[in-house]
Amino acid sequence: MNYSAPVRWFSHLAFCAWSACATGIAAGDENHWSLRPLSRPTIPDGDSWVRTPVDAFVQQQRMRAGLRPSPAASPRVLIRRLYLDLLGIPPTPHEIADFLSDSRPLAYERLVERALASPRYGERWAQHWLDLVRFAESSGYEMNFWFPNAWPYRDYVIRSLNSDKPYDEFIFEQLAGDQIKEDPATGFLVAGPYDRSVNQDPKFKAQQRQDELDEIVKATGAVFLGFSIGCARCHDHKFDPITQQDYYNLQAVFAGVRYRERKWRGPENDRWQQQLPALSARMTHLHKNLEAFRLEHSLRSPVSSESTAERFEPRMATSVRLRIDGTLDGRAAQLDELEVWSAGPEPANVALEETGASAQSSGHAVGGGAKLPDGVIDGRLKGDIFWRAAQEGSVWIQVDFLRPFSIDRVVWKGRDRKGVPADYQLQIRNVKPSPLIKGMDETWSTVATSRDRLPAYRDQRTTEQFKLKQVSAAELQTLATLLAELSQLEEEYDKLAEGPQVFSGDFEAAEELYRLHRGDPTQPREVATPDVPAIMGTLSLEVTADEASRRFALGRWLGSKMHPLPARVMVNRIWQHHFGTGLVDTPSDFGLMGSAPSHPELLEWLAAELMDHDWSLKHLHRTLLLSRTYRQQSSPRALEQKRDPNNRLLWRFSPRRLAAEVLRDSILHCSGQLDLSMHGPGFAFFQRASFFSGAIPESQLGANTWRRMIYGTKIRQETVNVFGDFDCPDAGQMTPRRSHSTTPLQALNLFNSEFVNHQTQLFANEVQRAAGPDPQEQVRLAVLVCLGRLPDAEEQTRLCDLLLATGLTQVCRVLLNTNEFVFLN
Amino acid sequence: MTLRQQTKMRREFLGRTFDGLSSIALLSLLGANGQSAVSDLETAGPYQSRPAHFRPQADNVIVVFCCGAVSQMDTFDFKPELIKRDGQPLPDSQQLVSFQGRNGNLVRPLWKFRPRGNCGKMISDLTPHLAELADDFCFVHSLHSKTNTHGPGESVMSTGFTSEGFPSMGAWVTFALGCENENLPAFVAIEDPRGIPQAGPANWSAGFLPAAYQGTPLNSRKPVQNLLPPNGVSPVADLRARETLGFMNKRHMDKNPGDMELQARIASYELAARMQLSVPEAAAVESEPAHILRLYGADQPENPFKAGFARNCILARRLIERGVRFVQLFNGAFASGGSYNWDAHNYIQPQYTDHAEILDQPVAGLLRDLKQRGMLERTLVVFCTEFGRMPTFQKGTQGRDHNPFGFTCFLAGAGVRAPYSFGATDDFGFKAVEQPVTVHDFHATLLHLLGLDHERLTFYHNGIQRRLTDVHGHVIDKLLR
Repeated sequence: MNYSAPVRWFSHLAFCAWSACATGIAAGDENHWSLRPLSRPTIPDGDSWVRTPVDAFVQQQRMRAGLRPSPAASPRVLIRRLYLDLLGIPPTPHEIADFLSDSRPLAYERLVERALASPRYGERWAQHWLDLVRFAESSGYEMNFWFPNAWPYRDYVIRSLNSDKPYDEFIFEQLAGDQIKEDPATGFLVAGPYDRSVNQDPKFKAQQRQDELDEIVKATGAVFLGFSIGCARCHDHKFDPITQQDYYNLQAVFAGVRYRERKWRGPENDRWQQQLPALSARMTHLHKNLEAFRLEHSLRSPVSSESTAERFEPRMATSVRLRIDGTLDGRAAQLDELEVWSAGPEPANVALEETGASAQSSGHAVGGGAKLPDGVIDGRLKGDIFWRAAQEGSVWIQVDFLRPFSIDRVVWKGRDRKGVPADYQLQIRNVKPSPLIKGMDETWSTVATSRDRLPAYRDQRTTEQFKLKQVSAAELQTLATLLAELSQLEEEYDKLAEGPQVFSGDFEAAEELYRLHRGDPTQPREVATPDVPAIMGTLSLEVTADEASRRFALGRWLGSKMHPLPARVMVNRIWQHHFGTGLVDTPSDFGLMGSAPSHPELLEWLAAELMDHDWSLKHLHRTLLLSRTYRQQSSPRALEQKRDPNNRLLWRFSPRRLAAEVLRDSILHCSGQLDLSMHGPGFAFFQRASFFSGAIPESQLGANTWRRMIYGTKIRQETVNVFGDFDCPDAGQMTPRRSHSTTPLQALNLFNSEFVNHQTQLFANEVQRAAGPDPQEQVRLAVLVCLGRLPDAEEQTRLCDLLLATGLTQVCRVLLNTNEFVFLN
Repeated sequence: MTLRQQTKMRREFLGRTFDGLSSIALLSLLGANGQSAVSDLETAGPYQSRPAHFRPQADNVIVVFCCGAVSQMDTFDFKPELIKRDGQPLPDSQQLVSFQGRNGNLVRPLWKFRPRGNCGKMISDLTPHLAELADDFCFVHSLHSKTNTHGPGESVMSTGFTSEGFPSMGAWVTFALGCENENLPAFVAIEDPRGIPQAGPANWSAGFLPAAYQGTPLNSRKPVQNLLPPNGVSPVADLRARETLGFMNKRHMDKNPGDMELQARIASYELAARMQLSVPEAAAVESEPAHILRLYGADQPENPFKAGFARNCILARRLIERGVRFVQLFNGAFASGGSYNWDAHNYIQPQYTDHAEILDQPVAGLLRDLKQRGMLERTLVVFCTEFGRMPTFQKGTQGRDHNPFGFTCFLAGAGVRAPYSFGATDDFGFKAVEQPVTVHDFHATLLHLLGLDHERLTFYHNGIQRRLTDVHGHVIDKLLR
């Protein structure tokens, strides 16, 4: 533990006060242990206990403290430990028997190799990574939108681990995978929660965007560099040599990242694109027919959901009104803009609020705010301000000018494809001098209607509602058929052309970002240049660097071995998940307030080992798993327990409760029901409720939900039935290490839940089938499957008594609730 | 070692207790330092009662959380100038754009204000029952929030942060203090009969604290999940199974002597068995006498939302009575155009009339009941909402938009100065101008009433000793008795 940190902080503050400098970096900060260059330490000499370099480092420190190692765990314990730790499910009795009977040398080494080659490995260890990056398949916050296409990132992580993708590539792809067609990989960028509420207040809107970028910066800093860079958002980092400018420079790397879906390129997309030409040919053919029909009946072109224009002879007018009697989709009419253009050599839109025009309507919608008529004269397209009629059916909207204009063209634009006027009359209020009355004569006249337009092929009105002149019923039917086929084809075409989607961020031109005084978006200061924190190095990018090159540069830099942090941080994470606690027990904080490593040289050696072995994570696993340190017994010993209760010096294997996923998978594994199909869309723990943020728990009694838990769709905020209470993170914050709690609610869930008891029943059925009618045999098999060992005589008696009194199901219920089943030893 | 270093070290150890530090080491370490807020915190008993930092005024808390943002100027924040200037533009606010867009002119409160109680506090006719209790209330009129959006706003009020994933107030409090009754969950979240609040379970999340501290959702119609043995298992079979499990675990324990986590898990099954009796007993609202049901308005089946919320209020009292530490009682549900919560953008008059009918008598009944039982002496009642509303109507609607710049909450009960009103908004109830109070200040004050120093109640997470109050917050002494 780094006791000197507060002192450093004070001196740092004093330094800043003295020099009144803007930078938060003090002389000597680059000497902090985690920022120093890496050098591979010499492996200490060890005695006969030492089997691997890991053991040598561990033993050296343990001996200094006068602690003895624990004896080796029995093969039976070892195989169970290895399976639960590395694969997340226990070994079958068959696998145990195989291992125990393998008397050739290197039996354990072969077991480790088999385990590392198992696809179950990626499924278990991906969970650690998903916890870390707070991956979920919903947005969180009030809306908590679900993302049906976020799962490919989960599969990407599983596949990467299973294929032993070098860690430098794994980093690069998550930042810039789009540039090498690894589309799901950038799911990392948008793995955090974000607020989808539409906020009209510009200050809070800017704040929302800042919050989005902040999530990416925080994650990048913590996940790859083990630095809480996010803490420098409002001021220079209080403890670490990270300035506020550093923070915004890193933010600038992600300036073009948007929380959206994009096309998922690959074989599936290729298949989709190959279908386009045929569709396109058919559509061209139908369009030709349609055009022939149009010409034959002298009809004009159809309305468009984007923009529809009507031209007419110039007229002096004070108002324009659009009467709408029907829309393409039957919804209430809505318009984003209504433009009225003046006649003459320099036409101008005179329907603008800023030039004194005003708007009124038959009524506007108010749900979710008011969709006021003046939204159509604000001169802004695709904004959130638009007009929507109060109801479906016949409505009108009107623009009045401050003075008469000579006009010859009216254009209206849709906000999206909803409520597009299909049946309309365009009217203007004429102005001409009147001989009869003193002043002007103002009468309304219709200058255009939709009734001589060809219906659009998205038109959902009935043929009667088309109200076309001079078209017979039979011809109308032909037209309707033609339109229907085209609509369907177009829909299909659009979907295919868009390609399969993946929620892994979308990229736009980088917006210019600035250091924000106090983190306040209304107080921009110095421009931000895309870069890593100055104390770590530089990406050497220009402030104008294009979007993709920014993430590319960062991805390459992180995996370039130019800085030792990525390797140090990652080996520590792997160590932590194998041994329970990291060598650095603050896994995402290698800064001045983080803990110092318990075994500094071992950490260095492992980091060097990772880089020297082409960033192979499986090599790292192997290095740890084959050590004698890993293979110790887990039982506590009084003296060591007293001297080193946290086992930081590794005098035993630290026992721990199974993670929620391992527990659920193991129960399904024992009951013989675990569905090992890999990848693809997840199964549902929840149903989407009809309202925002609602999620209704789904029954887990159907076999379609009996896949490994990592394939369960992860909904932010929601606690999964039964297993969520076993410290499952809610994906709000990064979780480099889960908390461990023991609660009566866990006991109630495991002992009483419908899910567990249903599995208990299925488990009992399996045992009965395999063991035959003899209760003694049944008990023996049930214990062997659950605990990986046979019961002793007394256990056998007690469990048999329970069986005879209540049935085998209760025996299985007991076994799945035992501490021995629930703990990794 | 300096005091500061010691403090840091102690916080780190406290914060990491559940990351595997054994309680023995923890105790010896704390013993050496001789001081701790949560000295007997151990894996064996997350719900065990623990002493506070200093002598608390309150032992338990009930938070009445009104979801959707209650309008201050229509309820408790009396603004004569707003009445006078009804229909005029809000000064200095050309083109004022708030959450849903542009705003129209000032609109007077839609309910009449009258002096109430002996103190003469002006409260509107919207909540006549609560108004009668004016002498018991300590109003804070100058709260302001960091956000104008419900999700983050509710998060701020419940967790101190706009971001997701931080521990809620109830989680922090039970993490620090445990529960007075181990046989009940320490922190209970009671959902409104109309549905879950807008920020959903984030309101009662344990965030990065151990899952033991997350709020247990429970209401008068929704029992604790998996409380009772599964269908088809007879009580006798259940008992035999539990005995056999005890035997198996004891045998395993014998082979691993001194393992506290195993011990804790054995204890958790014993606790669970006791909960099977204690939770249904505590939740038996129907066992209350008729006059109590009447007091809360739980006897009005013609208004099922009101009767349901009233039952939730009775449940809150029963839980507190039995030693539950923290109850978060929600009034109002998810986003619904103001139909099911206080988010009246469009039609405030009819919507608030409905909502107030559901809120008023039940909460007033709860306060009266706590008072007549002497429970208000040691129970802190917090009435809060995520932010306020505009003094104007939104352009084109008959409702008020979100307003994070000023809003009202109030306290009652243990250790609270009452009758009292603190802070003020401007003439229109728009912005907090006198003694503005952040939600962090508000939280710091609540923790103070519970005997907790908000700067000492910390938990290490991702590089930072996290607090409910982030790096802010001051106790507002004037709110204390």
